Amino acid sequence: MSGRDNPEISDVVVSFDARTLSRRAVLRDDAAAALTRAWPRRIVRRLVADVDGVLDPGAVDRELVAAHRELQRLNEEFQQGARLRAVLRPLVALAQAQGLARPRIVDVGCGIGFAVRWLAAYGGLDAELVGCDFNPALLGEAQAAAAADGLDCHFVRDDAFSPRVGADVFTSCGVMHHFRDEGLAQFFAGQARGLAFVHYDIAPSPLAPIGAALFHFARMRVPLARHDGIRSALRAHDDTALLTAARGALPDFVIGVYDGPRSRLSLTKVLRPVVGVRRSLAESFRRGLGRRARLWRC
Amino acid sequence: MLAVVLLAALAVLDGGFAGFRVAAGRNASVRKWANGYYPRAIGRGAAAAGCLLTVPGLVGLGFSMGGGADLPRVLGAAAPSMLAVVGPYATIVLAAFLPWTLFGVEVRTLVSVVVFGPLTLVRPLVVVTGWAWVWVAHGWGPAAAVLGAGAAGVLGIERVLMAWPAVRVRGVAGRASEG
Repeated sequence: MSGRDNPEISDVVVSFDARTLSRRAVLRDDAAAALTRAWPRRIVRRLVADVDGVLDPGAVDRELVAAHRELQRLNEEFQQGARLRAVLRPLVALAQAQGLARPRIVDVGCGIGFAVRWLAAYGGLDAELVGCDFNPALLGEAQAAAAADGLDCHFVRDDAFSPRVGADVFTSCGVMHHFRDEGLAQFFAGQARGLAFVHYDIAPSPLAPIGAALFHFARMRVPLARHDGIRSALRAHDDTALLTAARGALPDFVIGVYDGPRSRLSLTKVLRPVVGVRRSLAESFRRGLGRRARLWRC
Repeated sequence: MLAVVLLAALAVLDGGFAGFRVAAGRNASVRKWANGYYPRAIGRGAAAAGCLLTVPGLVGLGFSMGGGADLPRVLGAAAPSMLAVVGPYATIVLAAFLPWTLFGVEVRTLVSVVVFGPLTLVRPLVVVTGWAWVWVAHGWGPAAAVLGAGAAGVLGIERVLMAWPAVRVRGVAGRASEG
């Protein structure tokens, strides 16, 4: 395993059966052994486990929810909601032009559902907003936050690889780097029934790990969040890897990177999406983007 | 004494920012300004900073009551040294809010990446340097002690705020219990 492929803590402290979505027991020692460095191992060893060494699901979930709240703070700071809205607007218009009165947007691996909730609050999209994740604790937080804010969106338990919830537009943020090789292709393949997808992830660059370390130490307090945030920047896929996987899995789509970094030292393109649209709709999408069509590099 | 007043005002302002930072990332709501979560956190931080200012006040009082120290004079002479370090830092942070407020997504992100993030990290260093500069320029004495107590309060305010029950109880569920 190359250093780039080293997992994040959140990848190893939970395990769900992809078919039944039931939770599997995770041994603390196994989780620690899956991590190659001392820092994340220390974080895992501090998590509560029972006498048999099985990680306490409640303790793990509390840590994950706290980490996701801190991740939401970074998404807020980097204007992720507004960035996503800018791409989704023409896609929603496109879907409506196809006769879908209220197209469904599904955020795959939504965590605590920040993107979905932000869109429900500020997106102004005439669309059904759904978040899906396999972790019920994260979904519970998403649902509670949406209810507290009085938002029109909902959350379902589902698998990122083969989401059972149908969608017209799939989206995600910070999910793709969790998958390698075949997993990445599978992720895209699971969305073949949609009209389009918008998947954001960290843009890899020489500055990305430095920036990630700076912001995760400046903004975050949960050790798991700090570690995984920095690890994410190191694991992020480059454009070629993402486009190769997406194009291989979805040959009927026109796929490109949208508004990515213009140089290797780009400071504001912390995240950039891979955007795919059904081939028959690609020209309409370009027209919908208007002057911003040049930002969609296919 | 203007420098002393400015330092105290900066400490209260910094407390407001500390209140925001401590509250951020602990509540999943997307309406944290509208529902009062952030305004309350900022107010709490500023109030806590105001309370912490009593510590340097008491230190100064101790020196004054001990006799021998013309505190207003020595403090008035030393405070500009500290202000010379923390003033430019505060000016940059406050000035950065202008483009952040006026412009859109890209400029806001740039301001965060270039100013807000890095300057949050170096904040303790700036405070310590400001205090050290007072010590170097004016030697150890009542002024260094009073300003040191103030600097310690600024450096410790996030810990104080983290102990606040409304902050300790994390997230959406915690909001109901917040005053």
